[in-house]
Amino acid sequence: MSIHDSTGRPIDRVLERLDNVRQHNGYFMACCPAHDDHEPSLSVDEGDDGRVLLHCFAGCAFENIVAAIDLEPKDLFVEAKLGGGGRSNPSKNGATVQHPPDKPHGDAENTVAGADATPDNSATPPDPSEYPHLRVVGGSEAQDCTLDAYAEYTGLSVDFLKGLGLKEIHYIDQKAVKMPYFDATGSEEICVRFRVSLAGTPKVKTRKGDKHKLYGLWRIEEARKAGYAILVEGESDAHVGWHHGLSVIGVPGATGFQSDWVAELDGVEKIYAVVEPDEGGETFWQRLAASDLRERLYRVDLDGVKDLRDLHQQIASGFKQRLRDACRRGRHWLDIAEGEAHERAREAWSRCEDLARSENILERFYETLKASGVAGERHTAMILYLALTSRRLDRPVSVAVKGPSSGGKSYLVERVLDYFPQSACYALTAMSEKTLAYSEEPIKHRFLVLYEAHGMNGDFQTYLIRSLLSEGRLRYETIEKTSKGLRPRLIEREGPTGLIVTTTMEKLHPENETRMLSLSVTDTREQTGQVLLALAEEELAEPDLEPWVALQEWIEAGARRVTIPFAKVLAEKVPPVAVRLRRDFNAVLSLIRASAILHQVSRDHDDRGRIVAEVEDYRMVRELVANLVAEGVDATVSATVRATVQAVRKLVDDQEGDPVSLGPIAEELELDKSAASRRLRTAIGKGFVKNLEDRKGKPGRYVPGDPMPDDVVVLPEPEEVLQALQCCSVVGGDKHPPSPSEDWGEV
Amino acid sequence: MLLGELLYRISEQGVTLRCGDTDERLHYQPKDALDPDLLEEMRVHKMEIIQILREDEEMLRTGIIQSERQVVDLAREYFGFDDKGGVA
Repeated sequence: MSIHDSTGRPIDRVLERLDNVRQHNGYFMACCPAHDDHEPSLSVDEGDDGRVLLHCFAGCAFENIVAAIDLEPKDLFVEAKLGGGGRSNPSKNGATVQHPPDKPHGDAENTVAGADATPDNSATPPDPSEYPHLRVVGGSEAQDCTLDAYAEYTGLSVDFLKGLGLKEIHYIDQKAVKMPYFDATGSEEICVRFRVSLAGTPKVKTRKGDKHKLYGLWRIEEARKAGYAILVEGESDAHVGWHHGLSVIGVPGATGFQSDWVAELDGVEKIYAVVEPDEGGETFWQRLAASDLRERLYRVDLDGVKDLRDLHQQIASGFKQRLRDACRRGRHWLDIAEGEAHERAREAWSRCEDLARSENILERFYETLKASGVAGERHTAMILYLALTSRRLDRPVSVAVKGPSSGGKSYLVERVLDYFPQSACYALTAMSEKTLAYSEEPIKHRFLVLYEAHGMNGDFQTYLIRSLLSEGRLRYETIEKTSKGLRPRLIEREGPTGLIVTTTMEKLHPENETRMLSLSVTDTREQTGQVLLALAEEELAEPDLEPWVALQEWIEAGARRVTIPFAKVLAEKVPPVAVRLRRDFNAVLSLIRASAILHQVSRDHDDRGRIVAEVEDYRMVRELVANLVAEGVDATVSATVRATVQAVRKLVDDQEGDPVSLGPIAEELELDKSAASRRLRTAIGKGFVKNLEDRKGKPGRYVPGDPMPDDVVVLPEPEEVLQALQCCSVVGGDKHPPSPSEDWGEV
Repeated sequence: MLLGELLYRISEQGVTLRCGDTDERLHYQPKDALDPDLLEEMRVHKMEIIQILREDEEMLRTGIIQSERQVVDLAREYFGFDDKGGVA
């Protein structure tokens, strides 16, 4: 609203619109209306010629401050003061503040300070160097966007647009159309966007500090009653739709849809998305299809027409019928997704068929990885590969890769990830406090990869990750600032999601530790030698990753339900040695399922379409994780800990019972001191070694601790499982009758 | 005899039931724990019992409820209902 014709000093007009105004020595401080300000950070002063000088110490732009108090730049100048000084750059408190002169509009009333004030639509453009705030579009200055021009552009009447709350304003030094976004009641302005150009870039700007919303929230109740809403890109299509009496909701920009807006559309039975025939249109569709709207989402293509505005311009009289027909032809998200998945699978299959038919894909993976220069780490690499494949399951297997700094943990994970499409994982390198909660990246059937998991130390991340690992989804309650004050907000991100972390810590938070398989990278001198040799090798084969990535894309599009006919036999044969085994046993089953998914071409499928896992899958998995599982439940002692304890014992015996320090232990183990120290900490943690030195900073004095237990075989041999399968049956689960030796009757 | 009553009586006898996944045989243990009447009833309801065993196995394996009966069973267990629907 221009109040240029009102009486009084310009500074009074400004001050009366500001909150928390305080007078200082010759100037004022107030809360800045362009950002969420609680402590006055806006300086307001009066220039020698009566103009208002504004400066926000938080950095808000002049034009945004003026727009936020519903004034125009010219309102900050003394009207009658013509000729002189209008384009100066007054400085306030050391900061340069650009006060744009008013643009003349053809009559004396609307001309302002400035010796060279020109009439509106003057052919002489202002000098950009004098107007650093002036946006130059495509080499020419920004054009006015008047309400008349906008009406012509949309083919709608000015009166109709005014009825929607649109009005013409000055935005910086040009005319623009202000488009208010109202809340669901239609009474409160919750966001303002400005149409600043009809053809240039950007076309629309948002008032600083405003959060984007759906355009037309006050019409959603109408859409609920109608049983449908048509989602369109931008405001102009919404205006056209409303003109025709349709339930149209605008999304601010092709990439603008936010997943938490889904709740706004609750109760609307069908959602039709008008997809424009360009890249932006596809992005618009993809964002909607990735949201929880998808179950009721239909894709509408306007054959030969770009958008609703174009359709209206072409056939205003047949508009409604044409759009209704297009909606009727709209394809449901699921049909499109299935068709796309089928096409993706077909295309991926053509690139991975040979690989998919391999009998032992896992072994082939490791051979390829090794040939490309990844030294050692056979088990860790293969478990990582299987774990990542388990993302397709309801319970993916999460993994912590532990090892000393520069031990090659992250390198190994990165190389394994090379064999997967981007859709398989989402890597976080430096997880900020809320990244995981607020990111829009989909995490369903995907892995989060967290390099150097120091971020997991914090309670917040620990909580988030635990909720992902245990509940299969992320729930986070927070308080959000809204126009109605602070409001609780529940963020929910759907899983299931797997997690891979690399860390130098021996132990993660106990709740996370027990939900992950812990793998340690090899820390021996031999391994270091292999790594150095690999680095020196100049003739390394560049792996052909295409079939590998294609294999995983094909897997993503295919069956993911697996039955393990021998699961009960396995469960019966596993000694119940620890509570934790329940979780580890689930991880073993998930890895078996992942192996079956990987080798599904050579596996049977049952009459319900499930892949039938074979004992061969168990054999592969057991080879990789038997020791890990046994160590996890303390049924066995790992080879590295056992060697460490034996080294301590030998050295102590050699010294007739005297404690031994780290150096000789490292020497005995042929490790560097840091690797030996890590192993000692683990052995001390398990009680097999004691450090008699309790003073901080003093060298350790190590002696043997508790005796190591005898090994218990936790995961049975595959042959035992096969044998059991051949001779007995399991409750409700298997094809074989009970053993005749058992006391069973038959009906 | 109603199926529910039959299963109740079988469990009271301490009998364990098993069935195959693909064949249609129903096994019980101990072999001599069932009297001829119960055995006959089991024969009558054999296919229904097999179905129940398979459904329960599937629910245990997947965590997904397979039938309305399981909903009722779970509700009974959760709320402590007795067989007549009252709270035990």
